[in-house]
Amino acid sequence: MKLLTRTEEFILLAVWKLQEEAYSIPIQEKLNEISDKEWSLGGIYMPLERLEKRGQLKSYLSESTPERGGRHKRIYKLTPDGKRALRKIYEVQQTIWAGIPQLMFG
Amino acid sequence: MADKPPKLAEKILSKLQYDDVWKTTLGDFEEYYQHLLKKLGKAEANKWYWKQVLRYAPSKIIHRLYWSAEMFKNYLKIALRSLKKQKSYSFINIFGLAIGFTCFVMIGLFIQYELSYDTFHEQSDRTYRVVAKQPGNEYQGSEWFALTPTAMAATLKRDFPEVEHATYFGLTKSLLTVNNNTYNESGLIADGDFFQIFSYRWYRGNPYTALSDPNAIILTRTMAQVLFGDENPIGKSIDQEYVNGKETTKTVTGVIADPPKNSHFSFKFILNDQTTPYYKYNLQEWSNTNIYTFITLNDGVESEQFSKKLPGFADTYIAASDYYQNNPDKLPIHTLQALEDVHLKSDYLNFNPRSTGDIKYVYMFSIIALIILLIACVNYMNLSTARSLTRAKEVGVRKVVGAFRSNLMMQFISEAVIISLLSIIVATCIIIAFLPTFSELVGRELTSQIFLSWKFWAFALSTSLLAGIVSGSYPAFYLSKLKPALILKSQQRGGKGNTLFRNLLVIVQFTITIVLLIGSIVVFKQLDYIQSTDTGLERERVVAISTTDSKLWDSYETLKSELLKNPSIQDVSSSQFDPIYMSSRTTISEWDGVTEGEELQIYISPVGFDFIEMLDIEIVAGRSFDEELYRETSTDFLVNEAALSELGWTKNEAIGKSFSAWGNEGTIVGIVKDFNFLSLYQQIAPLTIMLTNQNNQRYVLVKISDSKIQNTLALLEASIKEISPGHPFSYSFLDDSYNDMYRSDLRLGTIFNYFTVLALIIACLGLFGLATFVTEQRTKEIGIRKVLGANILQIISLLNKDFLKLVGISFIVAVPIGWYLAQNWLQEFAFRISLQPFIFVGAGILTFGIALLTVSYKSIKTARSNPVESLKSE
Repeated sequence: MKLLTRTEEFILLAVWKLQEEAYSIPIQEKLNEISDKEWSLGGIYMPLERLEKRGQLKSYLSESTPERGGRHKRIYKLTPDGKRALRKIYEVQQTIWAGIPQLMFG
Repeated sequence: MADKPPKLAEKILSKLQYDDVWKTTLGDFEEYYQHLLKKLGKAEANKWYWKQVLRYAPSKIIHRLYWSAEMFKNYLKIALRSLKKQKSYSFINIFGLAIGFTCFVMIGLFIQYELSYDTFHEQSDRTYRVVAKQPGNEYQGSEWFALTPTAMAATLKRDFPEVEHATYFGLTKSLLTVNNNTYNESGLIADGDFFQIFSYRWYRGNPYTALSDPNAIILTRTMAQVLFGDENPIGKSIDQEYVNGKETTKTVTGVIADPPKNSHFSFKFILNDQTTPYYKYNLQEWSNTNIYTFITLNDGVESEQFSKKLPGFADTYIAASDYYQNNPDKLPIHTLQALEDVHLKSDYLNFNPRSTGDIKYVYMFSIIALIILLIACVNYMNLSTARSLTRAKEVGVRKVVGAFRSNLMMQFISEAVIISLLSIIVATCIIIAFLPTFSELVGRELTSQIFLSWKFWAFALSTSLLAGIVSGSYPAFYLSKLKPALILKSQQRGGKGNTLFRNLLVIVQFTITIVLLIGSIVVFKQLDYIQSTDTGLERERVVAISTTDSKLWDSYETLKSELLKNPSIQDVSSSQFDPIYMSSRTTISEWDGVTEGEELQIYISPVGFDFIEMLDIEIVAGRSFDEELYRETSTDFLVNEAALSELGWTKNEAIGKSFSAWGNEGTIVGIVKDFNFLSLYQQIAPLTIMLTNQNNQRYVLVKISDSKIQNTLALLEASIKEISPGHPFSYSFLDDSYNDMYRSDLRLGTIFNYFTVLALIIACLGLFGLATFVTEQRTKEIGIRKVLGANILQIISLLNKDFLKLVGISFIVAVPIGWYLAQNWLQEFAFRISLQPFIFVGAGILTFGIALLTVSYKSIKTARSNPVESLKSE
């Protein structure tokens, strides 16, 4: 299986952390929090769509709120595939970082 | 929630795509917008929102275009497949619609041409003709005249600041001589601002000064070419002589383009009339009406307001003239007629410069064009609904697979549009092939140049789109409504309502066809009546040679005796007016026993000896003109029976009574039986035929006794040329001139025939398609009937019955409509046929027969087929 890109990894993590609140805007905020970068709203639609197509995310429509002009939210959820992909990238990181002494960061 | 994103931007975004994903995205945008609003303020938030529009719109639009193109590709494929699969239907549809389009476009061209008359003048929308009603002076059924006094134009311009330009023109026939070659041509006598009002292209000369020289003559390009070849004609002299008039020398001051054909007057030359002796006289005399007056009003002047001032104006000048001082009740009432109306709306005016069009025909043709197009569309609808049964399954499957009703409607409409586009192509070919014939038919110069103009194509495409949408709409609405489960489960057949609708369409078609057919027959019968009716005047083999050369009239007697030596020439006579159309009228007030102030309006025709005998006019009392009894001192008059009853005499009383007309005193020597000396549109009015000397004659009349007409004509030309060399030899046969009077009716007749045939073809195509369909539907039923013992005849009548019933109903509907319209048209003729029942019965039988043939072709085939064939396949 192909490894996740950094962006994809961030997004999947954000979705996982946000749980029931995982829709575009909180995801964007979360991403802003995680990284130093300022994420645009448009910038996250593409990876979200890609991940969903790949079967690592699934989505459903939830309730609508007045500040959205009465429109539904699209809530994302990690699929088992998504979780597997996250675990995989975590393991790869562990492996490649293993043996690098702490003092590198001193 | 006071602060919403910009409305327009939101609207654009929400129109881009319909699905749920996009809706949630829009929700995100709005939420984020609210977020930005709090953080950065309204301006920034709006800016951001608009940026989203710019970012998403292009790709979404392309996406949608792509998919609709993709869907259209599919529609196209299905449409072509179903066209191929059902070849006869396709042929009927395309061919039928093509005929409809052809009629529509051709008639459209004709109408456009009719409406284009005189619009090429730059100020045509502000230009008016002054016309007048002359109370009590009824001439050929109307008191309205297009002619006005000469002084009118200049005086109007002088007295009213609203008048920007004013001009007049009169018609003239003149002999133009250059280098000893004489041409008899018609032109205009004009003055004032003629070239400021009427716009022509100038090749040479100056439009502002060309007419100001009293001896000016302006030639059309063709005329200049004829007279001077390729030389520059400016400054050259032409000897000009009015018919029966004096000769003067004119100088060419301009060359202009030939006047366009779509103009209500035509000319070869225009001259200034100030040198004629009548000019000054005419400028003073307000009771003489002999020219056409045109004015251009200043921008913004309402013509209706302005024409209210005309009666007062007329009182000042016209009422002052001697004639109207004595006859105040005859004072003319002037009003304005828009230049652009002159061609189509001058039917009520006497003395138009030349024969005009008629707005009635424009309306009638428009209606016919629409009707034929409608019939063709109806055909399409009819066939498609009939076919809906076979396509119902396709609709069902499409619906199950997920097509919306709108998709299905789009599909059927685009199928219809494809068919109508194909038929436009076919129609274009037909139009190119037949336009010359049609132009001749309507007597107008229509060219196929329009195929080069984008306007035409825009028109054609929009018409075909419209026709496609109209004809596709019923199947689209009907088929898309069907419930998929029902269609797929129970083989839903077209319901009762569907059959009713189809039948109604057939009835409408045939009603229209029968009405047209009745019209055709009526017009044909009336024309036949015109040609065969005895007008009381023998027209056969009589040639009228028009000549104005005084030398010829001086030696007329010699010519006559010379000609009579030829065995092919039976009679020679002369007359001042066209014997077919004696349209000159005068007022007489001197006859035996006339009371003071008594007057009679009477038509008058001065003729030479042998006129009555040559034309076989019947004398009911007294005698004809006789050379033996001729006296110089007294003029011989003949009057007709109509005049007799006006004068209050019996036939025998009248003979020998004194009578006077046009200043000629004499006696009535005989009474002629009433004959049609004008046209069959009018009742026979009082007429006097006056014996006259040769000085004022215009026509030499020659009756040819045998069939060697061409030889005799050549001989006539030689003899006349010998006496008046250099003068053109122009002749016409009386029966040709007679038919010319009814040319517009003849034209109408021919056009009607064509349209009727076309409507019949289209209606039969439709009927044929429907019959094919219905018989196919009933193949199994027929097979079973045959197996059970039905014979062929029973089956044919079973199949035909339904259709013929429809034609029968159409007939019942069509008869009153046809009767009403025919009656209306016939009203124009004082002499007309009566609407006999056989006309209607004939139209009915003809239609019935053709419908029967059409339907039988299919039903006989089906009835004869082997039942085994139809029953074994399941």
